[in-house]
Amino acid sequence: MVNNAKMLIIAVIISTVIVAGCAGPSEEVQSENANPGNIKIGLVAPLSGGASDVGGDMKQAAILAVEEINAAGGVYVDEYQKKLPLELVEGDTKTSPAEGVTAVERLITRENVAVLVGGFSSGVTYADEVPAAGKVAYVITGASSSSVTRRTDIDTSCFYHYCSTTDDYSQPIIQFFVEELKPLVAPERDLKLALLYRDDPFGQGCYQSCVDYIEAEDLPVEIVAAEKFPAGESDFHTYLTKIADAKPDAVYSIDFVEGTSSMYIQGQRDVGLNTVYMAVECNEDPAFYELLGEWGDGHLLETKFAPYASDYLPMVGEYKEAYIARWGEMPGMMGADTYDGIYLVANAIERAGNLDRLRINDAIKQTDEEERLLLMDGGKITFDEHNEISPKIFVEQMSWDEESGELTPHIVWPEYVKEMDFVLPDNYEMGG
Amino acid sequence: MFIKALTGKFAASSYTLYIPLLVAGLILPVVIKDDFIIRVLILTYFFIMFSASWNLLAYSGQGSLGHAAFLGIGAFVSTIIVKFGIAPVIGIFTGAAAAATAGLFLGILCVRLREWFLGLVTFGFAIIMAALVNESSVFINVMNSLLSSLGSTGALDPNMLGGSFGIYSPHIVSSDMYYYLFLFAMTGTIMATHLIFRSKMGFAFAAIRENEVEASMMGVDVTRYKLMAFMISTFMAGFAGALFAPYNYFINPEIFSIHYSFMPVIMTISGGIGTIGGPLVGGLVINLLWEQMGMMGMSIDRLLILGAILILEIMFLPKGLMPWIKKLWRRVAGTTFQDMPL
Amino acid sequence: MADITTLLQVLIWGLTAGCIYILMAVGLNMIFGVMKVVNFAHGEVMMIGAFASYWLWSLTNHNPYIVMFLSMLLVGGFGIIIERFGFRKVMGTGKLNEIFLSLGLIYILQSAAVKLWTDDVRKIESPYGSMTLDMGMLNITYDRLIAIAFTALILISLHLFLTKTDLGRALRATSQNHEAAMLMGVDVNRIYMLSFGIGAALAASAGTVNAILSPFTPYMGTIPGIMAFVVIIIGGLGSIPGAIVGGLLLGLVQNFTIFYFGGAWKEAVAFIMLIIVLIFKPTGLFGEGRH
Repeated sequence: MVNNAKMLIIAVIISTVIVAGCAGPSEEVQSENANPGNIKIGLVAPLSGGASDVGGDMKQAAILAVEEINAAGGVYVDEYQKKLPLELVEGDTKTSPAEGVTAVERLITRENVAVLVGGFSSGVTYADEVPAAGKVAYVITGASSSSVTRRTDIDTSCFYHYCSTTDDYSQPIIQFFVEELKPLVAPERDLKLALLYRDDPFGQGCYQSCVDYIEAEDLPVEIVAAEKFPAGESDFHTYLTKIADAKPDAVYSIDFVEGTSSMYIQGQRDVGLNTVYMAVECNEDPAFYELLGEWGDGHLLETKFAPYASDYLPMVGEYKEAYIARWGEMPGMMGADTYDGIYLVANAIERAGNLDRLRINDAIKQTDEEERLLLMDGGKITFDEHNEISPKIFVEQMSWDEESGELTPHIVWPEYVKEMDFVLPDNYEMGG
Repeated sequence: MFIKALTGKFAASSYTLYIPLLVAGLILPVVIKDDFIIRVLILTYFFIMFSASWNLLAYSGQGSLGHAAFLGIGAFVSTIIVKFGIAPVIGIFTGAAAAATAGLFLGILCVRLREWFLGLVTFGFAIIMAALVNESSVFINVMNSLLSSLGSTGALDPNMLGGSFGIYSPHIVSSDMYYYLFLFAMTGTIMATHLIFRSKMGFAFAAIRENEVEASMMGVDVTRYKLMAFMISTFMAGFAGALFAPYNYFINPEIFSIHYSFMPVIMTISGGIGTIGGPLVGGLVINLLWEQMGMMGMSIDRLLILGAILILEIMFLPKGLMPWIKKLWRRVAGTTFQDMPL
Repeated sequence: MADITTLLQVLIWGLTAGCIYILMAVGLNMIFGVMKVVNFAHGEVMMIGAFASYWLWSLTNHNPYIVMFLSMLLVGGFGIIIERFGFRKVMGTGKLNEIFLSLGLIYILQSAAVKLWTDDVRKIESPYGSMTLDMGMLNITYDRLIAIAFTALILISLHLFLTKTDLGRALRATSQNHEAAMLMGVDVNRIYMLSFGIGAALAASAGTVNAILSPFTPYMGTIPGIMAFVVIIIGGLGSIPGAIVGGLLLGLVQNFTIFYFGGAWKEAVAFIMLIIVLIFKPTGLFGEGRH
């Protein structure tokens, strides 16, 4: 029989060990009214696991923005009558809902961040919003599903969607096809479109909004093939063979860099599906052009941030140079949203005048400022009733320069930003 | 059997150890007011339950590499039942029972297989489950058309499993009660494995693990006991999943990923495979270490460290931390303590 | 119904996918046949092979198919190290420990590759990248033909090695009976290292072929590694003909599944095949006796 006193001692020891082990540093967390040294901004991103390259771009862009703001002295906070520097605190979601919730919970309660920026993958964001609901403003810069700000099961008043939704990009893509491609290849009949999409919320969202948009607007587009593939697929031959069988006029390929570039190459080189390929904006990344090489010639990319064609907006050129100087590589699109997001919350904190989370949230809600890296309808960043922005989307066509061995994109649509006209790729074969 | 074990000769000595464990668990939220720490503790309790379930199967000599399948089945089934407005208690136990049914099916398939086969089949089962949920709308549509051809007017929502996106899982208790729910569930799971290990069934499991042929010569019904181990273990896994989904407020096919299949393996080995306290010690150490590394801003490095821990343990500490803890225990509790329960 | 050209085309995609499975599965079967050890990290060894080739290729700018042989040597040596300082240490302490060791290796190799080479998407440029063989209705790229020819070459040389050389015969003897081989004067430990080295080298070749055909990241090995296991169980543990037939079968079934039922079933169908085989012939198609 064990001595009861010893039991009690053990109980106390176990609790003290755990308390000391994990609760120790929490005493450092100061209340919001104490004079803080830094303004903490939580970055929610997949820093490890399969999507860590995206997370890396988001992190680099966020660090760049924070360093720029701090180099100018930081953010002026009225309550303390001085400028305070920003401090970026990372939360790794591992692209897992449960890990995401843990990361956000830690940023909010442990790190006591003033505001959250980031959030990649709609499913993960859908879960990791919950601990922030109604408490901390969360500027979502990497989730494409509109449900993250439109869900009704939790309080979404603190969530802001600062990136394009799947509706934002599928609709202009269809418009582009109807306005530019159809007159060239199918003036007399419906345009035949094939979709090859990733079997996840992002891919399904893109696919669904294409279908809905064509039906709602009664557009002359027929979807002749729609194939989905598991995330992480790299062998697209059979999918593309099946699509080639349907003889489409264009292929809309929905995946990230690794997959999309494989589709473009395998489709033309191996399957002989010589049509025009369109990719989604998350492929606006230096790796995409590098992987494609000559196989990108004449093909398309939908985007809202075009660092290669930086003339359309001076800020993009400046950002590109700063990014290259800091990180030694071209910026990608996923980082651009996050960069803007950091500036957006920095300005909101300044307007709020103190570090109260709900005051900052109100300030973000009332954002009405000049567009930065992303072009906005009306040239101003504002949030609508769903807390969404209205970014302008454009289409780039890539051209391969044999001599320099470089693939460069040019904006071909819409009219007000375009650098050149859309032309069919050299090897284009009619569908139908 | 339960009552007998509680009142039997073990009760007086071994089971009293649960009292300081529970007391310690109940003191913690009073001392700690930090929501994040509470979440880490809840996750730890969750992984301890899940590891205990995996450990029970390993105790019978069967190592599963796809235990996440049963975690996910419990989570999805219970979430759907709760969303139909049925009492959460029923949902949780139905979820666990569904996992046990799947476990029985897989057990029948695997009962004649050796370690590597079993590992691969269970691993594959988790991938099949993920594909089934991803494509669930197809099956539900087929079921609906079957139902309507049978004259049924009601139809199921084709999106009720959420496909690859996931579905929200409503809370089953108020959010500050989860800590106690997981604490009691974890203690209960450990006690259940304790009871089983000390029962006739537990001896049969151990005999099968040591040598199947000898066990059957000793008169142990090998197939029956292997299946029982499978069912009990998967029931516990499903139970853990049924609590995990509402706590995270969300469930998607990511629950079937290898992260959830491998974590209980690493935790149990760290604590001590085949021991009652192994999952407890291993879950506590590995999960706290994992979260501590996360707090230190480590991302890729913590996976590297996790792998290194696993390999070093298998090579140099194959019995896990339990032998050390036992030694420590003897020093603290004195020599009068004979029947070391953990 | 699809026309015959399309079906032939899908057949070819299935064959090339099968070639990679064969290279993986034969290597895994070498290791299993001789050591009775399962290496769940075989896919990660394949990934290391792809990166070794990439590294050598970008360093020397030689033809990637020539570089591949060097990388096979390097990774073969790496395999020997894993055997000598990893699996050797836990052999005989229970089959579960070997499985757990390979789980640990998955975490370590994957994370180490991310640390060493970052997680950027890479590709190896083939000098025959844009060349295709025109066969009327069908087009096949040279790279695919090379992949098929290379797999055949490897299989033939492995067959010759195992049947015509003393070392090969010693290896087969060990795989049939350890004790007898030891009594015959075979240095079993050396044979273990050799078989693990060959297995790793084959995985490296599979990784390189895969890296030439499509872009890759440190996460490329997970699925092929698991599929290689499915193949050897379908074909029969330790049976090299079984690995060949199983690999081709899996490649074909997966691609026709994509064609007829959609890509979502690609991975699940492999395990459905596995379960069917286990129900009706638990020893696999070419397996001998009971395990």
